Amino acid sequence: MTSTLLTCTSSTRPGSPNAGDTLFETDTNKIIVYSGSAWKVYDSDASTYALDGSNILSQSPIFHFDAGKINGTDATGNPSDGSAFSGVWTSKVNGIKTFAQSTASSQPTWNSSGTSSEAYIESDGGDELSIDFRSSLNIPNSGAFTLFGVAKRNGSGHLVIGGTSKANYNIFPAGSTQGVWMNYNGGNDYLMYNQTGSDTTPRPTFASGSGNGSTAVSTYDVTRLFMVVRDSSNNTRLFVDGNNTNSAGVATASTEVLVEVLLKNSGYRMTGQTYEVGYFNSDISTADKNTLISYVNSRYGTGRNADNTDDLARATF
Amino acid sequence: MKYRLYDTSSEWVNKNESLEEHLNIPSENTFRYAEVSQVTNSNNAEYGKYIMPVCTSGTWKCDDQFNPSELVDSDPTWEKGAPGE
Repeated sequence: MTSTLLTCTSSTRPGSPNAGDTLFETDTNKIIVYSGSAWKVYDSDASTYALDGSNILSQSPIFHFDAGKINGTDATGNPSDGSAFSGVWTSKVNGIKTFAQSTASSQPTWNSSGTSSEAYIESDGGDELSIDFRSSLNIPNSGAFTLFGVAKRNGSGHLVIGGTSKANYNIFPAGSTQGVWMNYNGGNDYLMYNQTGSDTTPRPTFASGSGNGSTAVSTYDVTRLFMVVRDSSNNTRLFVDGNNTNSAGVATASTEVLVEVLLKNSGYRMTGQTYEVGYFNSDISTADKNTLISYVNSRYGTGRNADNTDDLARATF
Repeated sequence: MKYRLYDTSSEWVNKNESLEEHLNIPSENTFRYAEVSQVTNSNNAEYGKYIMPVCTSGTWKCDDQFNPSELVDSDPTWEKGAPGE
């Protein structure tokens, strides 16, 4: 004898639930129970992680911040459109949070509708959001990791994913100059991960030609998926929209990773839109990379390259 | 975001207080307008100056409180350890 729960999605939960109401969310594959004051979310014992209803990773990230779910669960905690964000951004897993930014000029702006009508956090270069998870989750990580971000640069500034605060950027990792893991520098037209010192920093460039679009080299201000992946041998690679762009410039960065800030306002100042940021303490498998790419394709649309002739988020390597 | 550089700490503090009054800060969850910082790269021509961020849009827009000719863009070489040092 089997029974079937009523279903909903994380964005279509019942509006007036009663205590004890139990449903299955089809987009997250989680069971939710209303306690009388809030939804309690229950996940599988397995360490899989549902990005949405059809894209399931084989492992769960350490954190996954989603601008569409500021409270980490649903859209009910989202700020008003265009407002300065002075609240707390909660990861969808592990309960990791950003610290509230109480300095006006350092507060980013939350916007409800960007690429594919998805929400994003916007930084004007002077904003900073810090997170602190080192004590409980064995970070900084000195081994394999995967850091990903869905982000869009504004204008000619820097697009930065992960990094250290102004106070620490010369400390973690040792020898780094700006303490960022991914910087998208319009002035120099290069991608880099600045972890081995400025003299030896690899500067991979976009592959051009078949499959990557003739404009890929010079088109920067579109929403892209970035993945920085380091394996157990410290080979560190950058993947952009599914393409390994640095086959000729693999770094061997062995320093600790510390993703202390989601946005930074020193050195390489983030100027752009952040939709999602996630972090795994392993180098995720090719299958999981492809799943992540498929998820980004589904949520943010394909053909985001300026010439609209290529699917930059394609799931092939 | 634009920036205004001040020669002295007192100039920076006075302007910050003026901006907080103009923007009705402190308010809920917001305790100050800016935090003081300096140009720490001794190789930068502005070394030692005090950096005031100037919001040009959004909730805390206040660029109308400055002389436009005195506002500058950010410079990644303001900080010690910047590339190009």
